[in-house]
Amino acid sequence: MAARDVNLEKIRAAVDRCCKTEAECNKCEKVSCLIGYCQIALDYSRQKHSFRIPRGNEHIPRRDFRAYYQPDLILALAEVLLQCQGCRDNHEEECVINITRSALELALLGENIDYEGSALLYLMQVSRLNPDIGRELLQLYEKNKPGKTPEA
Amino acid sequence: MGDAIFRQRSGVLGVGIVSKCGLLTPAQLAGLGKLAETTGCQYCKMTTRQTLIFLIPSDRLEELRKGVAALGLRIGVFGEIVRNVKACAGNKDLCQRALSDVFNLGGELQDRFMNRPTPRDFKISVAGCHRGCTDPYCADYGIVATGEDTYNIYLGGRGGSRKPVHGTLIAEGINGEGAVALLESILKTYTECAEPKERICNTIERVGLERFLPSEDFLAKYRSREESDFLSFAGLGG
Repeated sequence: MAARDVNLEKIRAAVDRCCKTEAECNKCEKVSCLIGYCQIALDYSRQKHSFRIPRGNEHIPRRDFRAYYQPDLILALAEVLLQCQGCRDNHEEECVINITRSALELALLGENIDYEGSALLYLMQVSRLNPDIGRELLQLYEKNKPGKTPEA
Repeated sequence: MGDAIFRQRSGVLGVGIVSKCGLLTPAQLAGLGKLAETTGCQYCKMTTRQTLIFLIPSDRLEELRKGVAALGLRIGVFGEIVRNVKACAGNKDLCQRALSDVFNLGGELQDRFMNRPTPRDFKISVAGCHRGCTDPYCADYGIVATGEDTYNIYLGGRGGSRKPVHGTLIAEGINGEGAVALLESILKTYTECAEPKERICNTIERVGLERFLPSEDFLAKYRSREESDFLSFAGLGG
């Protein structure tokens, strides 16, 4: 798939803020790190000019149980949701936005939620699962939606 | 089987004209306009299968035939044969979502298979992404791009029917060469197994899909490299 208004650089910058860096991890192994995996997927997408990451959803490092800094994860996830094209029935699991969302969601919530191709439906699902995170995510999403003054 | 030339109730001839998956160059478009005027065409109709119908007086048919051929186009085909190939607006110029250039593959399939006799009409549809704007899930042989020169193949769909049927996914992640080779094999099996005038969805229902399924060895020969491209990029093997 491809989309008109996806800004992968913006997602990458938000994801980069979540990185614990080698100072904390000692060694950087991107493929076994949820944040590193997002970075790889985003770089692949930018380099290949393709929003599809073939088999990318199969290899998300689900055994990365590190604790990341929650406010940064929420910011990054909100950015991903803002870039989601709302494909609904045409949602594709191998979409770079979906893969990034999926990895960030694991880091933030510890589990995955079925994504139905709509950011608003997703926000409702997160709110049901974790009202506090859901509220923060919704606030950021609403605040930075196109047409609103973006967060500094 | 035969050319797509029909005497209509009004007495005029309806003549189907086929291009490469509905693409026309400016010269072809201008030439068709001129041809419509010189052959006394009442009006034209763009069809659901991406052909163009000219409605002309019957005594102008030969003039139209020559003119169409001179423009590098073809008179359409009809009946128990492989029909012209339908493809979406799937290339970098026409669609934001296209994952592969469908016109190369669609054109190759049309040149190679169009007008080949089959037990019943056989329709091919190619789409540049999984949205399937050309209804590949309801085609006898539906091709859906999932990446650059990478396709999923659906078999045995039926559209334009009171009883529409969805095709079944029979191959994933193969390249264009594989899509062509698989179709060759499918048509052979279809011809061997079908009863006269039996649409492939009915043949599949009667003899089973297994007869049509490609082997893993067959698919392995045509597996697209793109399927493992990300894994190599990420250092995950593949």
